[in-house]
Amino acid sequence: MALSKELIEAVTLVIDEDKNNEQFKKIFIEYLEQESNFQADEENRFAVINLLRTQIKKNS
Amino acid sequence: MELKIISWESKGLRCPDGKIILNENGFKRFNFIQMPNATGKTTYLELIQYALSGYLALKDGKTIGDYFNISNQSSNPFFELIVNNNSQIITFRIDFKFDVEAILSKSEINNSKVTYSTSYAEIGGLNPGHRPPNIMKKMLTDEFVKLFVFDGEFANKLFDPADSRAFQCLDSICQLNILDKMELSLDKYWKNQIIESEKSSSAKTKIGIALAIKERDKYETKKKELEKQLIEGEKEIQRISKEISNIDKEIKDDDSLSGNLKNLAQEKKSQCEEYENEYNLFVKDYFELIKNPLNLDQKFIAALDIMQDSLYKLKIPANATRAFFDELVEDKNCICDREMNSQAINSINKNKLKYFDEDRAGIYNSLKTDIRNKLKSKDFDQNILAKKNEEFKRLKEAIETAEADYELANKNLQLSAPANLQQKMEKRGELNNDKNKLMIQLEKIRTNTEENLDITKSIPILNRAIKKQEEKILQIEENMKLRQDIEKIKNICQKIKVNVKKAVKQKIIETCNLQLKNIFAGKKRLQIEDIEEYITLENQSSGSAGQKLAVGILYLSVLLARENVNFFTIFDSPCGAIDLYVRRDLSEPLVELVKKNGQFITFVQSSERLEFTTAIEKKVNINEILHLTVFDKSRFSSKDLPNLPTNKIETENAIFVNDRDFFNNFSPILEKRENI
Repeated sequence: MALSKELIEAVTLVIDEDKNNEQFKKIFIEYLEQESNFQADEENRFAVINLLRTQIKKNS
Repeated sequence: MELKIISWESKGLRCPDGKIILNENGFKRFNFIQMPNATGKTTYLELIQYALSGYLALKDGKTIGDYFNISNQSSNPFFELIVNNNSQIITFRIDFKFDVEAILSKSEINNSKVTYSTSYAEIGGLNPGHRPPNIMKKMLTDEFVKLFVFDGEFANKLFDPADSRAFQCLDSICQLNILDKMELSLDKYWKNQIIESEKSSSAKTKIGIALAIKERDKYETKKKELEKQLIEGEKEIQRISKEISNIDKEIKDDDSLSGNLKNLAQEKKSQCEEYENEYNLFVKDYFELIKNPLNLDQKFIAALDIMQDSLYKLKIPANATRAFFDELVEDKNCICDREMNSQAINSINKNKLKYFDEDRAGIYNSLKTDIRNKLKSKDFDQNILAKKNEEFKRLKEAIETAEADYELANKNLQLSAPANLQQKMEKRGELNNDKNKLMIQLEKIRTNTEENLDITKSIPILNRAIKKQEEKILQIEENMKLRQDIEKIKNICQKIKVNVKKAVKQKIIETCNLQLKNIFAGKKRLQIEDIEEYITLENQSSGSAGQKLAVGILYLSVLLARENVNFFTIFDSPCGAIDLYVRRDLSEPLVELVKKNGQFITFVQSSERLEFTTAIEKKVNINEILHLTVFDKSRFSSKDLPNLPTNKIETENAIFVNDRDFFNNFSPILEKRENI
């Protein structure tokens, strides 16, 4: 299932407001797309959390 | 994500035997399936739901038994649904095994069962179990399936304050459950990381870090204090030694002292120094001695003696090992001159096993020899420790005597000395005392092994404690950083959910209200006020059955008409409780909401055609509509039916007619009577 327009808009808005970098946003949206196609499992989610944390570290 | 029904087929159940095909000449946008009351509409609807969700396998025997049809028994009753999911064809089959006896006797214990099987290209033919492709599996929950396979009861739940169905629908369609999954995984991630770090530290909080820093600083201060004591103590010892040395020199150089007394004092001092050197050498030798257990206890020597005796009793031959007998059997005659016949060879081969092989015999013999050599050695003195202890005692006494003699000689020297020299000597004595005290004090710090951190003076032990606290601080800092990251990502997920819900909810309310304005015009005005956990209507606490059904259909149609989904939708008798005016007005927005490539399936009775299917027909190209009539062939006489077209399909108990005219003229008297 494709991501809804509202979801993509909300992700962009919240991530930008929170002053995260573009890479963070890209990882998050890619993950949501994967999840919306029912292709993500716990292992994928943990890997995404690691990637997001790396971006948080870079951003701080 | 696209999901469409290709066909379904059933046999031996409480619905018509036969196959309903929805893509005979391509998929149709609107699929009207007309079925009189009691023909099995609800059964079809439930079985489609169960085929997709797999939930019938979890139901009890009694629920499964409800699908048994006494007048339509089959040896292999089944239901089979074929769907198209993003161009992949998937078959879900449910085979029934009814506990007929229990069903007929209405027993509480009913062992009716179902068996699921699934088929699609990747797994080949029908495979046991409800095994949809992974991409589809997570979507086919019982709750989610009910969203697009819709019945009237579901519409009521959308308005029920005790039920949060309206919001769940919104969550599912807005994909907010994706973010819920992320939040759950964030919690699990945190737990996993903490379990890992728990091995080295248990504190995770700011308070924990403050405590660890406090502890570390406490040990650090204590350690620095001890190090300072050592450094300053050493300096002080050096300073005192220098002062003593200067005084010694002054005394030595002073001519006013009696030469004999001075020489005597010097002699006694030299003696003290000699004994001290001897003592140091003795201690070194003594420690070497006690490393050997033979010197420590007579019992050990006695035990070795017994062991040596036992080894001798074994009479291990030096050469006559197993190898000797191996060579012997090769000879013509035995060593006793008897002929080496086969009997003798066998006996020798058998008995040689009682002897050691060469390696083991060698080890035992070498052990025996070593013990003998050691115990019988000229150098070995069983009483060495006792002798050394005696020697130590003598040496200690000699040192004490020498020190006393030196002290006495010094005192005599001091008495004979002039006043200024006496003072110097007294001063030297005091300095020596101070130096000794200081040396003892520093030695105590250097050799301290107290483990209790509150009273320890051991620098290595304090170093260990400091290192431990530093590891803890580092771990806590990492944990705190991890917690912050987790909270940050969670916070983002929550904010996104709030924003999406707000945006989608607003759009849906607006779209629904726009349609409702046209449907319920004038005084009958009906508007959605809010969709929180459930749907609330403007200026009224609840709605009539017809209003709820209309709003429910509209709400789900709007949700399912969103750009990111294209699921088939099934509505069971959507207009049964809706009056003719509302029907016509509801059909208009439905035409707009069903996508051009969508699949809207509705079960209707003949009485629902008016202002519903007929209204849709007027707005939609006829090629976009399937008109299917399904009825129980034993219920109606041919005179009550319109002319049956030749393309009808007849099964054991039902007739399937795919024909628009037949559909629109099908008004059997029996059904009319029922409706009256």
